[in-house]
Amino acid sequence: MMMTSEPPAHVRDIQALYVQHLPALRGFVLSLVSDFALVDDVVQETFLTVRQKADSFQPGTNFRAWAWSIARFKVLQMLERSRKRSDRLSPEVIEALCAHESAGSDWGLEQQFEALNHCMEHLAPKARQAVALRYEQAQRPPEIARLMGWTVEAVNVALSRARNVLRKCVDDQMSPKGA
Amino acid sequence: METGHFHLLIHKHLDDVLSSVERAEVEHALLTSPQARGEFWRMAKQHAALKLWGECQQGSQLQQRTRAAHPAFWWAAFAVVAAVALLVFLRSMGSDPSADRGLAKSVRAEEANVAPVESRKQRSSPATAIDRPVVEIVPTVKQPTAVPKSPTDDKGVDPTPRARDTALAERESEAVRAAAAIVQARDDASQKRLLEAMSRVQPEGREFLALNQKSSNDSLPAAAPSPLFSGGSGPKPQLLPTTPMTREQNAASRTEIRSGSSFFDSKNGFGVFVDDVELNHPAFKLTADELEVYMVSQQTPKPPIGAAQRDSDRKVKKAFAKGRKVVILKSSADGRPQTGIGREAEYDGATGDIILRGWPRVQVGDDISEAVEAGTYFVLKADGNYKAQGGRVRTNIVQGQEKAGGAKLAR
Repeated sequence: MMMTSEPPAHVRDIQALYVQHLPALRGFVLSLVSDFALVDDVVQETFLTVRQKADSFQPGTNFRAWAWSIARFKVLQMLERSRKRSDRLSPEVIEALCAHESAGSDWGLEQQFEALNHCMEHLAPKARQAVALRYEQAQRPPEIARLMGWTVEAVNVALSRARNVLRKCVDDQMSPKGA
Repeated sequence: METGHFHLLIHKHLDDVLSSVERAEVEHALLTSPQARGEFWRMAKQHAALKLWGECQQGSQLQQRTRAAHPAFWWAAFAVVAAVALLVFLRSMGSDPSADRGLAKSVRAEEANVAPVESRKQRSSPATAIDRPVVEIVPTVKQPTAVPKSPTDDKGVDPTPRARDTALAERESEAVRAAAAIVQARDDASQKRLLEAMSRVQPEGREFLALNQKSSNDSLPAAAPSPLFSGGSGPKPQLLPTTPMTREQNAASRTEIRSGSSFFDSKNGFGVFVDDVELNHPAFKLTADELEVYMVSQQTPKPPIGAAQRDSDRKVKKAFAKGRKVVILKSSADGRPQTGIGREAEYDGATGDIILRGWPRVQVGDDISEAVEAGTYFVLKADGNYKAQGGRVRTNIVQGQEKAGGAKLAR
């Protein structure tokens, strides 16, 4: 039987911080990588590095900035490895985007999540179906087009419009007036 | 750039369907405009929230299905939790705190066993998603029931150097095991895709596979000692022949295939390749998700080496590529780069022509021809010309002035 010991206290603290920031970090990677299948690989590798480098993290400093920089590095590494890197954003653009985001705005995923539950009812049935296929079933627009009998461009436009409707609704919900 | 158009392009990026032209447009906007970058992150946050929402919905549906299918499961789960709680309580009556920690860890280890590494592709509720990395890193390894204590532990002093070294070594081995589990999971997934691809091959390939299966069944080795162990009767190790120090003559005519996983039948000259396949042929370069290759048969077959298959003596007779996006790069008749994109491609080694199907598009320089009907296909001729057949096409030819204007704007 394999015996392992409990990780040291500071590693446990790092793990707890990672778990706390995980949804936003996953969203961060998702925005840069786009391919759902690759996102989990990058997040997984980020976690391994965070854990391995736990000793180098200074408690009390900005964990998010630290973890984000590791994730950014992993994204760039993944793009370098990827045969299809020509389909992704260039490293310069990713650096520019990350520099803009490093200021550290709140992702507010929890509040958005709550509002989305309500706002989904505002979508037309077909638009809701397209959104569900995209986010529940993780289908890409070409597959959605095939399943719904639409053209790919029609799916792209429908998804974009649905997101705009949802964004307005979520903003209304999250504003003091909506609350 | 108009806001609505920019939003559409960012959404297409998030959906992984941005074309190369659109990507250039987005990248220009993101590099030059801070407002565009701010807008990108706003949309990215909504995308992340929607993904979270979708996974939660998926998780709820799975949960409902599980409840409907296995109502007794919840009673069993409740009984297990109650038993564990009772055990924890009884153990807490004793004086050994490390026993409690060990028990709690064993419970976590049981939970980890329920969700192996492969489960990271599955949808889950937000709570499950939050817990996921911890669960994945210790996939199926049992946690210890008690930590060996150093003599100084109870006094609140740091453990001995030996205990620290042991903990460090265990932590490292844990990370190595986790990494190995990830590699194994990826390899399994790749093998699964290879088997799926092999089940979809052309009739000719199916025959080869059947023959291959039959011969491998016929020649199952009997359980005999291997002659390759040091005391065996096999051949003695010999010096390798010297490598000639001359330049390879036929490097330019070599075909190279790179892939994540592959199957190669060297006897029949037939291969199936999956995962980021890249075919470098002297006349063109092709990338796809799946590739079937049929070589011109020869007398002395040469086994493949690793994932990168090199064969300098044999020529490709036919090749079939499939995938979400099959890309072909070659030169046009006038020497300009010619790019063909579709979902299926068929290469005929006899003529050197490539047939591109699945809403194909061909770009030569700045001029683009694309299919506007499902049945349209392009034939990329060996001489660099191409023709469309089977349906209507739309061709955009950029005029000289427009090109000059574009260049001016770019400057």
